[in-house]
Formats: sequence, structure tokens, C-alpha cells
Amino acid sequence: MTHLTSARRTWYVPAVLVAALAVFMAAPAYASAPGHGKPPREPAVQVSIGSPELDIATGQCAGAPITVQLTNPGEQAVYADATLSAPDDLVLQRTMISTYLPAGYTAKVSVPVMAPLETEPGTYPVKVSAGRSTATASIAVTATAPDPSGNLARSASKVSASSVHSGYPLCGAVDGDTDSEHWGTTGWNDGNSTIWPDWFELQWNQPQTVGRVALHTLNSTRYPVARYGLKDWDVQTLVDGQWKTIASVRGNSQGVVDTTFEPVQTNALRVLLLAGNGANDYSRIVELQAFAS
Amino acid sequence: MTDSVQEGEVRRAAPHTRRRFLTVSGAAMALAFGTNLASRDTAEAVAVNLRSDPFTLGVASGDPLPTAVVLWTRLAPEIFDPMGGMPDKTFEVQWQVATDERFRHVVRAGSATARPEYRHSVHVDARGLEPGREYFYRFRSANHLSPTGRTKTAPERRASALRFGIASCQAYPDGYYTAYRHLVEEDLDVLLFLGDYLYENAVNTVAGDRFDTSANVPDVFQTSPVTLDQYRLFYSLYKADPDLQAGHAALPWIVTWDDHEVVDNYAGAVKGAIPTEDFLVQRANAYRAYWEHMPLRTEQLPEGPDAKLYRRFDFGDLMQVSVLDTRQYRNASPSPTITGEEQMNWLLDGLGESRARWNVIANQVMMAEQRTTLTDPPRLNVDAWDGFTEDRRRLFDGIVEREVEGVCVVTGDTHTNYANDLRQNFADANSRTVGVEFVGTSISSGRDGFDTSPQLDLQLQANPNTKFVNGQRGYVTFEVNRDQMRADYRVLPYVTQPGAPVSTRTSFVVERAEPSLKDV
Repeated sequence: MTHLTSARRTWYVPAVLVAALAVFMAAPAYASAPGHGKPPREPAVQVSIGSPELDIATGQCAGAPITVQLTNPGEQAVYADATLSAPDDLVLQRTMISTYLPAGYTAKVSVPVMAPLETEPGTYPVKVSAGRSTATASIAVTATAPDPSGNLARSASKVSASSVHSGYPLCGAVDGDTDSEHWGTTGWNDGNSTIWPDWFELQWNQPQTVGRVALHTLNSTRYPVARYGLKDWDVQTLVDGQWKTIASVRGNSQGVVDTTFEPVQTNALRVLLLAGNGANDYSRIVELQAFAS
Repeated sequence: MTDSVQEGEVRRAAPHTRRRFLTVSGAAMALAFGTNLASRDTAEAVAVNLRSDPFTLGVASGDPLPTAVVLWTRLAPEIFDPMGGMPDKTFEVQWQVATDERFRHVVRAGSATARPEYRHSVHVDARGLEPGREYFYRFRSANHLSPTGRTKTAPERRASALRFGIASCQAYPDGYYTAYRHLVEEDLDVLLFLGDYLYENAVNTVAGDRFDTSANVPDVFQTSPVTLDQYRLFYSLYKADPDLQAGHAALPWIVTWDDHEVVDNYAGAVKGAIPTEDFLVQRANAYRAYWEHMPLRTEQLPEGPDAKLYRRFDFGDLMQVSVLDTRQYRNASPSPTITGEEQMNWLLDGLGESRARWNVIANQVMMAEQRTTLTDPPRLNVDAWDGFTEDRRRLFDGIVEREVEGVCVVTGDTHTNYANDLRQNFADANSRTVGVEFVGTSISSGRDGFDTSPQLDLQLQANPNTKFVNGQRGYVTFEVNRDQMRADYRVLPYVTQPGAPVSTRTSFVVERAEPSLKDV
């Protein structure tokens, strides 16, 4: 009898039963496949990287993908695992790729690579391994230059939101593109209609002086602000761990709203989104900008 | 058979696939299908400590036979890790089957090997059980004990009554799986799951309309899965749901898939403009992850993009269930087919030879003609059997020719409840009824739902063979005896918040002697 200390229950197997058990292993369906019993010497899966030299800038939204290629040069299909690793200076969206590989097939998998804002400029390796096959991408990281217009959102160390709608990523709202006509390729949309409030947040590792916020909500020919734009929101900064409202906008009908206030020193700023102008009742931000004044 | 013998067989079967970290898992790798005897000595010899509970994805049972049932679990202490938080090693998992919930009367026990190539999933074919009997089961790995599951074997020979349920379509971001909280109270013998267990759609940070701000669903779920590691992670997310786990733990499931387990509206080897070679790799990845996470036998284990999921179950002489796969073999040419030739022959042969009082066909997409407009010609859904009328004609004519009785088709897919009489020829109002079809609504897909709508009212008007439509969430339960079948449509008013109540929206009975829908 074995006692399980973690479960406070007893795992008890009557000894008499052990001899009486009659449980069988079903034969694997492919056990009789050609080659069984005399397996060929299969060449191992080979990894390579489509674009082994990649330039990226620092920042959550300034990354780019590498293309990992897994090739099965053999004559039998396999299921392959590859792992990806990088120094802590880089962030990989995935650390593993597993896939079926028919004989002679090459799988091409795009894996985003990002360098956090604090990453020192330099060249960093991303190593991909499958069995004994390895490949290394060389990621040249440059520092993101301060935005010439002084937009602090472009140098945020972290961007986050209450939720994200697929196809309308966070970074679309801080990518420098303020043109609503590009909706669908730029801009953030929250994940849930009718549920309020939403929020969109910028964080900086070093305190910033912020005295003006420009919010570009959706306002295109096809999607006018009167139906698709944001209507009510608060601008808030983080003070001693608490969100403090420093400005409010109500009943908005403009595509771009500049909100100025007494400049504050802060590590984090957000817009707390309270209501939209109707259609499907979502939050939509084409671009969010923050300036010293 | 001893552990060492089994290991030896594994090595002979696939010597080139010795486990090295990040190496290739050969296609010919032997299975995570240990069924050896448990002796205390071997169990302790291989026991490895796991720091946290590995049974985060629950337990399940399925594919009941009169003397056997599949028991499933997976060791995954970290659900969002591509390895489940497990080392790249095999682990021994002990299992027990008892006649009582406290495991005082253990009748079968053994040890299975959880292999990293199958992400430490365990599929035990527990045999030597008694027919038509309730059992309890559990697993142990190292110092962790799994939750207890309840299961039931199929009856053998003469059977007088049976209760089963149907469920389908559980898009995780569309809502909570509250339906399972009610289903586990229904005292069913088996659940038929009719497809769309998992959706390939991205899941956002707050789990969509669940709007759970504590969910923190990782970024990796914001793209649709293509590779095996991605499909596995989606299963981990879905199967971590406590209501779904409760559903699995309460009774055996017989599962089949529809399209979303791979990608929306695929047909055979075709999905839009994706090159066939690439799509079949995606299908292979999706099928493999499906098998790893379902209580299925090795007969269903995919070989690349091929898996034999269509299969048959007998519940004594009372009910036979033919489980279809209407996705894998779809083909547009030379003549459109939804089942493929081989599966259709298998289905007709099985129906012809059946001696069961009731012949249930576990189907995915609507089999009855369903006009969605009042126009002439009407609009039809060509993703369903309406797009494959030759197969439908062959099946219905085959049922008539073989004088198959008690035909009951159960269907998922549409997130809508329907009850249909199946006419041999839908164009002819005097055509004979070959059976009935109960289409069950979704568990969560489609969000909160609605009792009716102008479109559903129109369909009732356009389809005289359709006796009921309803757009709420839920499942259908069936009570079968030798001469009569009763169906209860159980509905929930909402799913985007937890805790919805359940009620019976409507019920039908079918007399075996006269297969058509009757109001209760």
C-alpha cells in the first residue's frame, strides 16, 4: 500500500488483483508499415533560417520576424520539434515549433523577434535547434531614436490595453500612422463590443514629463467618427500606484482630440475609455500620442 | 508483459527516434499507450517528483465497449508551456478503475507511460470490465493524484433502456461552458460530441466574450494555430476550463470532429487557396493534437494527415451508433461526396447488418434539406449535406432498400436547435420518412443566443419537415427504450456570464414503428 501525502487519500491496489489483470496493448496501426523491424537510417531534420540577418530597433512595437525553415530530407514522414533560444536581451514570441514533416517537405514558420527598449544596441543571436541541426540568426539591434516631434508614446517601454481584437493589434496605435483611411492596417480595436470601460496604457522605464495627449480615434470616409469614434474618455496618470484623472473628454465628435493639462512627471499614462459613438460599440484608436507640452 | 518488454518493443519499432531533447519524433514512434500491470516495485522505480499538480487538464473517458473504456489524462503542470511544463522524459502514470467512488473495490489497475512525443498524454484502454456498469477511475503520477472520473461501459446483449446526450460547438471566447454543469446532473450513459470541440479562432487577452480580466490569455493565442505546438496550446487553454473538465469527468464521451478542429469550412485536402501540400501538413498537426487530447484508442491515432475517426459502437441490442467523419473525405470531383466512397459503404453495410432497435448516426452538418429562403429555387447551405445530395440520396435509398429501422441522425454545426423528419425525397411531400434528425445547438458558439428570430421563423415556414427551431445555447438529452425515443432540448438563456440556469425548451418522441417526430 502506498500512501499519498499530497492527496490525503489512499492509493490502494489489492495485491490479489495484480495477478488477475488482463490488459493489453493495442498494436500501433503502423507497426506493420514497410520498413518496420529494419528501419532505414533516416537523415535528421535540418533547420535553417530564411533571413539570417535581421535589423530591428528597440521597443515592443519595433520587432520583426525571422523565418524558421524545417526540412525533412528523408524518405519517411516525421513529427519534428525545434526549439528557439536567444539571450535575455531579446524576446521571442515562441520557443518551440512542432510540426509534421512529410518526406522532402520544408515547413516555413514566421517567428516575431523583439528587443525591449532597454536592450543595449548590438548584435544578438537567435539559435534554432532540431536534434543535431542548428541554425543561428543574427539580430542587429539599434536604439529607437527619440521621436522628432517629441511623441513619447513612440518610446514607451510597454504598451498594453484592456483587451485586443484580433487583427487590430496594440502596436497599431503607436506606430506613427495617424491616418484613419489606413484602418485595418493601423490602429487598435478592443476585443469586446458593449463592455465598458476599456483602457489603453503607455509605460516608461524612466519618468517622463507629459503635458499633452493627442488621441486619434477612427474617423475615415467609410468609418466616420460620429458612428465609429470614441465619445467619452479620461486621461489618467499613475501616482503612487493609483490612477489619477487629469483631464476628461465628453461627447466627442472629432477625429483628433488634443488634451492639454499642467505637465506631470509620470511612469505611466492611460486613457480610460468610457463610451463610443455607436457602431458595434467598440473602442477604436488609430494613434495615441503623448507630448511634454 | 513487463515494462522492460514494452520498452524493448518501442526501441525495435523506432530505433532512430531515441529521445534527445529537441530531436525528431519519428512518425513510426510507438504509442503513449501503456497498459502494463502496475506493481508497486516498477511504479516506485520510475517515480519522479513533479513540483506541481500535473493534472491541470482533468481526466476523461470515452469510446465505451461492453468490457472496455478508454481513460485519458495528460501531465501538464504549466498549461501555457509548449511542453506543458514537463521535462523531455517519459513518466509512469498509474491508473485504477473501481466500482465505488472511494476506490475500496478496485477491479482493474495498471501503469501507462506518458511520453513527451505525445506531450505526456495518456490513453489507457481499460479492459476486462463488466458490461453496462458504472465505474470510477483515477490516475497517479509521482506524488500527485488526479481528480476522480466516472464512466460507464456499454451494455451487452439485451438492453431495455439507455440515456445519452449530444453536444457540439464550444468556441472558448464566445462564452462559458455552463451547459456542462447541468449536463453532468442528467444521469446520462454516454455523450456524443458532434464536432467543433476547438476553434482555430484567435483568443484575446480577456478570453473574448467571457471578458475575464484575470484570464491574461498569452499573446501566442492571438494568431490562429497552424503548427502542432500551437494546436496543442489551444487544447490546453480549452481543456483547462473547469466546466469542460466536469463534463468529461462525469461520463464517457464518443467524439468526432467537424471543421474548426482544423480550420473553418475545409473540405478534405482543400482550404481556400492554401497549397494542398501545406494544408495537409496543417491538417496533420491538427489531427495529431486532437488525438492527443481526446479519449480515443490507437486505431484513431493519425498517420500524418490521415486518421480513421469514423467508427461504430453497439449498446447491446438496443442502439447502434455510427460515428461519421464528414470532413476528411470530402471531395468536389469527380462527383461531390461528403463521406467518401469507403465510409459510405461502411455506413450502409453497418446499417444493413444492424440488429439494434435504434440506429443512431452521429453526424456533423445538417442532413435534412434546409431552405434558408422562400425563393424558388431556395438557397441552401452547401457546406452541409445539401451540398452533397447524391450522397444523401444514396444513404436514404440504402436505408429503404435495407429496411433499416429506428434511424435517428444526431447533428451539430449550426449553433441552432432543429428537429427534422428525414424524407427519402424532400421534393415530394408524400415521400416516405426514413428517419428523424435532431440537430443540437452549441455549448457556447454564437454567444448568448436567442429563442427565435425572423430568419428562423422563415426557415420553419420554408421547410415543412422541420418541426422546431431555436437559437439558444445548450444540449439535447435522449431517453431510449425498445419502442420509443424521447428527446429533450435543454437550453440556457446566456453564456457570456457564468451561472445560467437550464430548462427544457421542447420535447419530442419517436415511435420506432413509425419514425417521425411527435409532440410530447
